[in-house]
Amino acid sequence: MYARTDKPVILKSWHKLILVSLLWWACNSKNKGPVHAFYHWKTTFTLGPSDYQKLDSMEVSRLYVRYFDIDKYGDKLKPLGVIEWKSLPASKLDIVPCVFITNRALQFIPDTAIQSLALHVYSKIQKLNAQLNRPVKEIQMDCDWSPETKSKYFSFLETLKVLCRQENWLLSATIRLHQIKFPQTTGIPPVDRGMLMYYNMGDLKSPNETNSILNLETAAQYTSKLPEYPLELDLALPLFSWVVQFRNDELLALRSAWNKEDLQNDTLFVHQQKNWYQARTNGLFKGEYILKNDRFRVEEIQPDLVKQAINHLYSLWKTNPVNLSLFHYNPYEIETYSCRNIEEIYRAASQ
Amino acid sequence: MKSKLILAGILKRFTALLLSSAVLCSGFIQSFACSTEDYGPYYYNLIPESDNNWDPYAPYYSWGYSLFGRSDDPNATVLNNMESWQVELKSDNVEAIRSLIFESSESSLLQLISSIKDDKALPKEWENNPLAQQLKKNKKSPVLDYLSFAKKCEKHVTRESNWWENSEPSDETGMHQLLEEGERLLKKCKDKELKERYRYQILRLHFYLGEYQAVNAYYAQHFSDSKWNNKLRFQAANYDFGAAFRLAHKQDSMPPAEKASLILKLSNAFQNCEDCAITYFEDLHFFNAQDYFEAARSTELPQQKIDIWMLGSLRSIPPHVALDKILDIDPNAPEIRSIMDRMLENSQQERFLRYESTLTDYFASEEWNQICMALRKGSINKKATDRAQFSFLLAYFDYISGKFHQARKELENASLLPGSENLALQHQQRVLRSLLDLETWNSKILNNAHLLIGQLNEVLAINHPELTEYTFRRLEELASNNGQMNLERLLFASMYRDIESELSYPDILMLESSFKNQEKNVIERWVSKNQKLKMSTLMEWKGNTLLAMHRFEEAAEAYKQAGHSSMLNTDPLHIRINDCHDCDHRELPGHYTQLRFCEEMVYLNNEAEKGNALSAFQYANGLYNITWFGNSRDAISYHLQSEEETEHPSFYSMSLAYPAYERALKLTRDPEFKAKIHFMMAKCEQNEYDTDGSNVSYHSYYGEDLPCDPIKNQEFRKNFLILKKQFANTEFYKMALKECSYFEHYVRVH
Repeated sequence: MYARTDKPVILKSWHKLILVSLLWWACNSKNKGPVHAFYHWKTTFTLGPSDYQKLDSMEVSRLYVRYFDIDKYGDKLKPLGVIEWKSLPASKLDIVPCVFITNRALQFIPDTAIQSLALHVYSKIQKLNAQLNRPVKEIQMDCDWSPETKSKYFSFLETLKVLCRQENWLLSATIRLHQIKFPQTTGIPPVDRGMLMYYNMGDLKSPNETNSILNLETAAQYTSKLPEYPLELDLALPLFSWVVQFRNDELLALRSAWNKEDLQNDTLFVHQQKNWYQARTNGLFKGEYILKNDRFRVEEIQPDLVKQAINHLYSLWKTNPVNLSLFHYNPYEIETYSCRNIEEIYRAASQ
Repeated sequence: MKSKLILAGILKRFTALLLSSAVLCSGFIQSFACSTEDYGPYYYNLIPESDNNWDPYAPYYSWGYSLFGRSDDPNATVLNNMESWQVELKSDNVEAIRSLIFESSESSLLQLISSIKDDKALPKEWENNPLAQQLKKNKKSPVLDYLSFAKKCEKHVTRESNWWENSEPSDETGMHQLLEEGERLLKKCKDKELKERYRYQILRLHFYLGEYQAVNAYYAQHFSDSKWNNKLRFQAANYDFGAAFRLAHKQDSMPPAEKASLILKLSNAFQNCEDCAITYFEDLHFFNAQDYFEAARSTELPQQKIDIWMLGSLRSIPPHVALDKILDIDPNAPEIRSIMDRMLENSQQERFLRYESTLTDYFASEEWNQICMALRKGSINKKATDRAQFSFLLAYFDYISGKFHQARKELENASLLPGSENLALQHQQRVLRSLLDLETWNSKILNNAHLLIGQLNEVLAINHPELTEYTFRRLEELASNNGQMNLERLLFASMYRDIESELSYPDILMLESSFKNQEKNVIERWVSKNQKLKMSTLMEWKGNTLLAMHRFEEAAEAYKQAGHSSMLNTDPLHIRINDCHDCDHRELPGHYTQLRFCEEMVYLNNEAEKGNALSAFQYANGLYNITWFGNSRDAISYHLQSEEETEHPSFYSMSLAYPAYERALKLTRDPEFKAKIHFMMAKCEQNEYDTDGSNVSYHSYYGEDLPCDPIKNQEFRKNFLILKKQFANTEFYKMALKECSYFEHYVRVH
């Protein structure tokens, strides 16, 4: 049920060649400002010459690479989706290992096991780094901690920070907008620096949401305390789209590999208003079972919106971020947005 | 009465139920429909679980994190491992086999085998084992070589995964040597059963070496068509699946046909291997709905198709869709019951948790419609022998969607269909009938005691606590709406759960008065007779509440009426220079009951009033110790009404202890005693300092010592100053200086 049409191979190649050339041409301009970075959030690292060409053209010098997730697995905590190096990152790229830990994992783990978890994470990163053959300057923890898990998470970070000192790694942590707004409740994580995740700010679960990825009106409700936030912050901005599936107005699934064209081009779906689609009947689509009347919200990001977000943040910020990272590196998205647009995003942050 | 508040407090917890089953209890809706607070995941399992839990031998029995396939089929002829050893060794001595083969250590077993082969006496620990004695009679038995080999493999093939370490085996060389040894022994061995066992061990060694392609190849060569009469054959199938699954994970993408074949391997191992539970449901994420559809298309075997739909229904395919597919294959498949149980459970749990208002009426949704259609299909299928079950579930779904009339019709229909003779089903039907009776209640039922008590007796006879509590709750609401306060209170006290924490002092007084009321009507008398809360318990709660209010004399009286009060964990009058709650509990185990403590406090207060300084001091210690900072906070903290109460300032406040110490101070002239009292007052100040709101800072996350605020320091350190200026010569001062670092710091700096 894949929607895309098959084109002759040669046409595809030409198409790619022209596109890469255009991208190189469009993106080959120098800028000052924050370090240009991307997140790499896949399980296998397969970046090759064409990817590096794109990254080079955008002057990307830093990759935040998801190494693994930590989640409850059965009755244990386990590193899940550990990165597999099918190729090694280009040597000039500065790699920042990232580890995502779920709240569920923190709820599950007893206080007494926190130090041991930090040690496990530290040595797992060490082992994965060893395959890189290059020093790492920083590692990053990603967690949307809650008041319930705060003390465990912070205690975990404190231990990890001590371990990081042995390797001269900085420890950074992702910070979400609600944590900026309510520092008294959510606390300030004991890390060297933060990465403000300026996306996923809406109410994903609500069928009334228009775009949960980036919504400037929503964001404005959270940023008034940004200037006072006591941690030095880098900035992460969205460069992705997804489809949110609802069943009976309840969130059923996030379909990150789907896009608007997929829904538009399949007769299983009928377009409703704006970015909403509905299933006409039961059926299979991209491997998933769809029930009649399931609803789908397409959430996309326009580069202009990202630039507006940057302008808003820079009007508040006392010190501009040292690193600006886009989430996440996906050749399909890069082609969709075009390197020129992405470069403009970086440029907007170089003011 | 404050019972409205009580009701509100209690009902808060059940809002989830009330809101989600709006039509269930329309009378409640007006009060709670606008509530958006999260009151926690409370719900009723109205249809008794014990009856819809499957027995552990049923297909898809789940326990803990695991899901089990079809196990222990009584008609199965395949032997399990123990049985096959019994046959192989021609021995019925299960204990001897277990001890020698399964439980022995490697060194011990190897020593035994070597002693048998060398014609030496059996090692002492094996002298009395009949199997060892039997083996000794034939030192050339091929079993000896196999047991020795299998035991050497054991440590390699039973190690638990450490997910945080690399997956490489710790002794790769040793395992490869064992592989060679295994192949050599396999060639040499003539015994068919032992040959299969060697192959099984070799397969396991390949697996734990991470040689997954070798596992698949070895399995295909030696096991796929095997007729080995041993359940280890299915364990081998599980290794085959495990290896293929791991290889699949390493691929970026996998053609649908290959994934389908992987599902077939899973279903084969899962359904035949009784020990091969799916331990991690998370692994099923690997397969999507399409994979299951492909897998079902790729097999002609009906049972395998059924297994595939069952596996799919766990994650990727809506259960009713799987149910529909299985119905087409075999309307009497036991798996159907498993799916229906799951649907029933989900409807009781998840749907009852839908307390947030949504835009869609779930009971009008397409999904709900499809679920009911699938059930209807089962209920009218003439080939199905359990049509009553389908019909019952439809009746239950009609009930939770508020179609009570239809539910009753469906329920009656269920009792006429094949399968209605099932006793568990009859019990479920009885529960549902009672639930439907509740829906007929209105204010008139309170005037029809005969009918009401008949229905209540039926509820009690069903003996399902959740149904009883739900019924009482409905009646309590009805009583409240009709101004029958006495009945309402009695029903409130009849609930099965612990309501102590929800009672305020006025509530207790009102309940007490209802209990003592001699003029009860028929319904009230019935409730009184069947209520769970006894007067003695109520009096103990009264004592606890009065103690928390520091009304010691009245508390003592209530405890006496109750005839019981709890033991405190330590001496509540004991104090230390540095508070240590746990040390006191450890070193001074309690011999005070709450009653004795209250009586002691009354006595000490009276003595203090007469001018006794020591009594006044001890009285103050008692007050200090039942705050959060003292050693006997448990005397009141468990009985405070709610979390808000335990966070109430009075629990943390020194507002009672401090003036009590001041009174003791005024009654003595002894400088040592005065120093001690001032020190206790200083501790009160320190506690107030610590709980002063303005002192909280997020910097404390870093564990940094914050400098004392000079203004606050003066405000909260008056007694330190007095001790320093006026009592520096006392022995107590010197001792305190030595033990209390805060005090030492203060004296040194100021």
